[in-house]
Amino acid sequence: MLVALAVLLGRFVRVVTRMRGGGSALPGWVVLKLVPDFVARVMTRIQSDHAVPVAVVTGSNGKSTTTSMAVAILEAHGKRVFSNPSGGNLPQGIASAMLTDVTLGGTLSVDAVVLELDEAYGVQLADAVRPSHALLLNIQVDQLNRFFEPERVVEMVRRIAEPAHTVIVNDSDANTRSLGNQFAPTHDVVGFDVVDRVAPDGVYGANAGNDAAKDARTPLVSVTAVDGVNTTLAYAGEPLAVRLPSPGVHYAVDAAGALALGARLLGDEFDSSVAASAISDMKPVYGRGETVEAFGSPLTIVMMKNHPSLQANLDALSETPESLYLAVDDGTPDPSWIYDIDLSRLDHVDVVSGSKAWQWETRLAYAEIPTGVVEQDARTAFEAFGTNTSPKRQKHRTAIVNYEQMMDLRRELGYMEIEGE
Amino acid sequence: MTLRIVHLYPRELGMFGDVGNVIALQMRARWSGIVASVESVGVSDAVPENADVYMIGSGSTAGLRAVAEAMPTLARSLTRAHSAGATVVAIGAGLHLLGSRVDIADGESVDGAGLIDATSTLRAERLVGPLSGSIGKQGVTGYVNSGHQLIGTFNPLVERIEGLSIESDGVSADGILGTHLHGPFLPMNPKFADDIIEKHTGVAVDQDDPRVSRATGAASHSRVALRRELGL
Repeated sequence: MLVALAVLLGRFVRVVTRMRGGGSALPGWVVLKLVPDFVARVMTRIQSDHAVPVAVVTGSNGKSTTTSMAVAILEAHGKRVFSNPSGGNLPQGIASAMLTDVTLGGTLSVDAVVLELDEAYGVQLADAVRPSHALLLNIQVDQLNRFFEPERVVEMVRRIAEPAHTVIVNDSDANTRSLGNQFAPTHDVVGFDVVDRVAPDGVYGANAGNDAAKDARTPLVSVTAVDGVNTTLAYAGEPLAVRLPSPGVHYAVDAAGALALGARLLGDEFDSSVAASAISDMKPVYGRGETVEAFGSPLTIVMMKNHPSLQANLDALSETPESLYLAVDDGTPDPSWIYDIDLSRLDHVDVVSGSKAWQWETRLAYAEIPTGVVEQDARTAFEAFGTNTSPKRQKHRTAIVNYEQMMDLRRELGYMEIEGE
Repeated sequence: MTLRIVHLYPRELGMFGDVGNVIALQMRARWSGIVASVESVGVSDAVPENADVYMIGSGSTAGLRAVAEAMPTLARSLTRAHSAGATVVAIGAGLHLLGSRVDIADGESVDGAGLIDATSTLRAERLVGPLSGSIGKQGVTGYVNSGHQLIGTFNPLVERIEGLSIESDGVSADGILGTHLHGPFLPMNPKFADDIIEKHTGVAVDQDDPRVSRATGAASHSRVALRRELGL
């Protein structure tokens, strides 16, 4: 009865927040206020009714993209999948996502569950979710104001994966490789990686302080070549051509992880060519290398989340951005890491904005990269960006923004849909 | 005129953008017509003893463990360089490693270089966030993220702190600038970079150079923005 009430109320809240172009977490928050163990109840019912596999995807970078890829692979094989939309990786985000398909009795009819989990919240969610499969992407220097040290994140991720019977690890990341080595005696450990010649310095340049030795695992999927959005993966030794939703080696590694997970979840039913097509047909995940329309021209959004992911995104730019907007606000409370970024891909910035605009302007001054306008107010700044730039050589503009500025920008441009829907 | 900068253990110590301090010194010196060189020193390398400035940055527990083996070498060479007049800029874990000992976990510790009379212990609660304070009469701002505290006999560097639960921070001694303000400490507070440059080269940083004034102006705006964020 309470569950039914919570579901109805949550759906009502969702209609209201959608009309206002709001975020996706509030409906779930309301549900959890009424039924704190809502997620656990729904998950328990799924797993007791049928043997439905539950996969969790976690790590510093690539969670949203990889989760979308894994869902696409499963759906292309005719499976009904429950997943949380990109970014909705906190408890309230997962509860929100459940509202769409759950019955008033709290039942979800699905063949598989694939959830992206935040590293910290994932520890408490793993108890409710009881994963059978865990995909560990990478553990990088990320959100140190929240996580303090990468070592703490390694432990969080270990605890998320512990209950699963199958652990799929990125063997080209020292931290997840080390976790794979630890799990090898007790779990089914599956590796995926990128060959050295594709990423001689590693996929993400940052060093999180772990140099675990290579294990003897033969990777199930390897990235063997990347050229922009086109990549070649080796699946069980066979070459597989895949078109990525956005360019970059990091997206190719995400695809390798999604394929390895898909292969394990589907078993004998897995068809690698179906999986490759499923990924190749994907659009960019919300805000991650996505292109929207602004001032009558395409605008490519590059997300600035942390040092490793921004560096990977900059490295993946095929050419120097002609018209560039850069906006960061308090959603990135401590942007000190911008001094670790190699900015040689940029030759100028047209407009710098957000409450951290002057932090970026200081960094750009030391890098001797010219700036057009510095304006902390994002609305004024974005208007100036439209006025001051006119795409010619490149036909599109580029925005490098943190998550909060990406959300504001999309809303400002009339992209009203809630993330991931 | 030349300025020789040594960046100690950039791979192990420097996950908060501490290389920014090296960049600020190097660029401001160059913009003033000084030939500025940067040499990175790794854990198994010898430490040059004739440089002008040594920068050692912050790091995690794994970073502290990784540089432990280099500490005897560092103690010997850095003590010589410091007595010969070099400036040491030490941030976070790098500052703690200038003391005699850094405690990591239950009973585990790393011996420091022994340049300052202090030991480092774990804080009950981690100190995280931006702060505003002053060094002498000069206002400074920056970001802190530290799980350790220094205990010993020394003068603090940053005083009259607002925004965090501490009253003062770091170590100020002859030729030593130590603080928990990581990453953009010198970029955001360039007066102290300029003082170091002038001390070692005799050349005053050219404040009228457009590149210098752009960086100085942006740094000043950054400090104002950070103070506003703190509600000051």
